[in-house]
Amino acid sequence: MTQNFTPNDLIKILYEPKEGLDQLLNSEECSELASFQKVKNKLEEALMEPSNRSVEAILAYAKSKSALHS
Amino acid sequence: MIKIHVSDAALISAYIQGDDKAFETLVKRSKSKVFTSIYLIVKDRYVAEDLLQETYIKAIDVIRSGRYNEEGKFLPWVARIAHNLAIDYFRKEKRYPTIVLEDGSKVFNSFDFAEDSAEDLQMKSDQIAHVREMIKKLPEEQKEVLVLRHYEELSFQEIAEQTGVSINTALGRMRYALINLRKMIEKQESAYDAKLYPK
Repeated sequence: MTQNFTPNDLIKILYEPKEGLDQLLNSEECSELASFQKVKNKLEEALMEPSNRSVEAILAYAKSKSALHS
Repeated sequence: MIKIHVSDAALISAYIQGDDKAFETLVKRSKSKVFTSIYLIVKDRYVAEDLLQETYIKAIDVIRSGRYNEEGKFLPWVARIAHNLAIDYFRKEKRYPTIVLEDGSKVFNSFDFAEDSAEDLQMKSDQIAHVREMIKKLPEEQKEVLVLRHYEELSFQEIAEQTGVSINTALGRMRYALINLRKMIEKQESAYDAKLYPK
């Protein structure tokens, strides 16, 4: 059985996949999806880490508020 | 050893009960995506650090006051707080642009992160920073959807509601964002190859 996917469907499958749906893609759609996946992986690599100082400040605040309520 | 994934909701309940470690786990899970999404809006690492702290402080205050009633995941909720703070900052900056002195320092700069500036320069020169620069070059509407979907983990339905467009438009903007990034990545990779293997 073949199903026609619109270009936007591929984006939906990339970010909000439903089980088995990717198996209905033809080879051209598969290759397009793979190239989008590559970009998605790059976006993941581009994640930035905040400084330890910021994280420690947040955790110290969380702890102080926790102590206040306990 | 078997690792058990504790849900965000369970971690929030544990924090309310006084378990500080539970909140630490939530911060560890979400901090990179929240920080990156703030940075991509304000485009300044030090401002992003400041807004990140403000974001989590707001989140803690809401949770502690018993006003937290989100049923979904913690990340999209905390990212929404961050997004609003970043947009507010961005609007204020447009009204009151930062005055930069000859030595590069900013007037009224209250962020004490001077020792990190060398690191920032280093960061700009690495490959990963190139991807961030590419994201910044995207048209605003595409960048907005990309940040909301990829870094803040909102669904396309939620993005459509938040930005006042149809789901199809949100999907289309995301698609063009990915296509534009793909083009920029390919261009960068071929330039890198040409440098490494000159003809």
